[in-house]
Amino acid sequence: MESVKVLLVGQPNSGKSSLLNALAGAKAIVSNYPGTTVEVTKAKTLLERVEVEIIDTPGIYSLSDATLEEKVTKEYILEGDYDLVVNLVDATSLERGLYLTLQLRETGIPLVVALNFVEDARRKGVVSNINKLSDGLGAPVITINPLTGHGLKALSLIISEADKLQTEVKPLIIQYDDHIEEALKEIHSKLPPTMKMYRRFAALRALEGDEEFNSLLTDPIDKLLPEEVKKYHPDLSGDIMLTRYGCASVISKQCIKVTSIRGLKEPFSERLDRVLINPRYGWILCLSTLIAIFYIMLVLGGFLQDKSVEAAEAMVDWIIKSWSLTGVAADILGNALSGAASGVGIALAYVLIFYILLSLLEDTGLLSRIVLSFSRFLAKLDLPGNAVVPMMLNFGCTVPAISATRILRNRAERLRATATYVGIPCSSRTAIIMGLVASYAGVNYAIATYVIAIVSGLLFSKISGLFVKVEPSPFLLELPPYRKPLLHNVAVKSWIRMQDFVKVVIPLLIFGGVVYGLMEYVGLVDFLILPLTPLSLWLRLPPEAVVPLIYGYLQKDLTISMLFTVLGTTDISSYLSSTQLFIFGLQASIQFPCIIASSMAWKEFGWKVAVYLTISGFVYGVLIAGLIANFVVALC
Amino acid sequence: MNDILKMYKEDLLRAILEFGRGNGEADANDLLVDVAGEQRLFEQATLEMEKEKLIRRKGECIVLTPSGREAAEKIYAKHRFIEKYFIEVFNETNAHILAHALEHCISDSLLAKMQGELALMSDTLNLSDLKTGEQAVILAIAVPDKKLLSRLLGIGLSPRSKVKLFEKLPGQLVVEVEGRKIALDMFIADKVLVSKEDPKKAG
Repeated sequence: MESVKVLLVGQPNSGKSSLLNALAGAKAIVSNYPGTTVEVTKAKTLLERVEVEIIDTPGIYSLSDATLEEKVTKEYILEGDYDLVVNLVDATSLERGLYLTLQLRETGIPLVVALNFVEDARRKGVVSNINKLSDGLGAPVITINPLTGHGLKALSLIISEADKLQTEVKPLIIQYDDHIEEALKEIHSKLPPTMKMYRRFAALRALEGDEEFNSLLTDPIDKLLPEEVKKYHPDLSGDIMLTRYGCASVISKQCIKVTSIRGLKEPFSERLDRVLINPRYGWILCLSTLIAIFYIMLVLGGFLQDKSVEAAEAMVDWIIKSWSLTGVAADILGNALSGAASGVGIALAYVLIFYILLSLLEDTGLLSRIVLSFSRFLAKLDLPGNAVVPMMLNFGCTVPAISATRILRNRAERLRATATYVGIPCSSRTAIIMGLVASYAGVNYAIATYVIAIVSGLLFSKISGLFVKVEPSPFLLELPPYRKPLLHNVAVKSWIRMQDFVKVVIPLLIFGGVVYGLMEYVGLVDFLILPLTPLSLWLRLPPEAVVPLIYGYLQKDLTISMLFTVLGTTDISSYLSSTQLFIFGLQASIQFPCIIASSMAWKEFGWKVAVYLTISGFVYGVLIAGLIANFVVALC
Repeated sequence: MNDILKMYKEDLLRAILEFGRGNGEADANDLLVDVAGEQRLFEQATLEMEKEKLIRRKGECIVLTPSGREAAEKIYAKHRFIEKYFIEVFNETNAHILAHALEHCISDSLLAKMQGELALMSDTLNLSDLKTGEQAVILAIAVPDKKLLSRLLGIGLSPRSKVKLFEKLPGQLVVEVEGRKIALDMFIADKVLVSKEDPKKAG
């Protein structure tokens, strides 16, 4: 064959991304499935001198429509735009893995099963017989280990000769009981005469309640079913699923031998789970994760950002000097380039570090424990546990944290998570709190600012719940076994995740820089800020101190130096009292942080949401900071 | 008339809950077919329930409010229990239909008595009745939403699977099945029926 298109399908944590990395390396690109936020990784590579495109579909437990991931994977499988499906199965949990495999086999698509984690299974005393498994499934089975490279050659061979398999493999027929078979026959005859899919599979999907297949029928399914069938199977779809699972169970029992390993000490991972998954000590995991991420982001990230921005700005200066630019051109180019420079700074400092940490946590299996321990707390905000991931990224930078909410199930959840960013400080806001409030007013004021900002952010999200309702859904989360992460995999994964940031955020930062440069040149900045100076009365600040607050929305990192400029001194303490600095810090922190974050919200949610978050976030901050200011004044 | 309306409303609530398991929305036309009744009755019932703040209408779809969800879960739990009771105590094949009729008029005190009696008679438990470290065999999974059932099977929670309760957390359970740890909430846990005795030994 000249070129082959391969679909990787498997349950979560079955090692799909490791296999993709082992086959194609860092060449993979992440893209969104059209019309959704579900990410699909694609890569092109050469296997056995054949050009192969590999598409890594989202991990799913079964072929139903319960989650967005399942819908996307089902869509890929049913569209049929591929030559071969590689189904990854985890040998340590064969039975349940075979449930998905059987569903795939019933579709009749050309399929090869790649059995992963065979060594892990053996260590647990489970030995599987590949030949029997292959017989039971009626499809080729090979064992692989993406980490050592075992079995990859055999898999490459099968992929490169995909056309052979297409003619060899026939759909698997699971024998259901007589009534179900009768119902299948009935539906079979009612399906349209020509179909892309194997008819028996289509009839099964219709019986299982798949709306897409039900719509192919002329009548509602209930009318088409014989009375006898309805009598014996009041829950027909459930009975089909249970039969299929029974079949998976039988096949798995036939081909595995379990020898119990005696005298084994409780492994370290079990003892670790006793502490991490514990009603009394579980919070330790939450707290230590937060503190660790916070410190790494702040200390390491801050250091790297300073260094990289310094280097980048030196380069910008050099470019402007060596091209001997002056006037508008220099201003605009300078701003565009420093936008790009701060983009690179943020990218290197926060986003890359965060994604490396995230990939590490994910590959070790710790992430799901963290998500579990946060899920109870986040449920109070109507958010699922995995919302903690984008929220942690927000400690670094809000802009990528907005796009990171894509891992959530739906728009409502994404909006509610994004709403917390109004208060939870990013690194630029933390810099204001540290550099201004802590240095000039004292650590206690800084801590108070930080705490009030975080609480306000959570509260803002809760209040947003009045407009954006999140419908509760059943909570089900697998806690995968701990595994040693492979640094190469972590690096590749982080790099793949970085691409989105590089492609979207850095252009936004450059654009923001240019717009700001233009606005300043034509004097629009002053024009925008002037009408807002009366805010100083409410906030109990000197009128000129409001200028850097508004200005901060355009260029957050310049807030402090702007305050120095408008006050005409660096001796802040003689102009502003500690309380005033505290209020200034609060106002700077509680708002949708900057114009770039607003543009990102625009891109992700549309302009209405961006305007809502920006304006209501600002008003909310003014309200809170002002209330506290007036309360303090009243007390004194 | 009032009784009919009351019963109809309760049936509707339960149906909205069941239809809405996926995305929380139940299609009005599906409901009309499922909960048989005249269009007029349907309109009257939904109107009243909206006034009582039990449901919200979103075009053709109906969504439960938090208090509506609570009420629906209560009726649903009653229904499931009555059905289970008649199956287990009398081996009654029409238990489902009986449950449909009785769920509307049974008093809380009678329900409690029946529950106590059943607990004495059988060793069928919910996943959430297990103690930490206890093992059991799954007998049935009574989730009404078939998409959720499919996911549960794919994750390894299926009848005849051995399950061990690893830890109880507030509102959540962590169980071990097929050597894997799975965290789930009480909504799912209450629908997984287990027996502490191995059915092979008992039968």
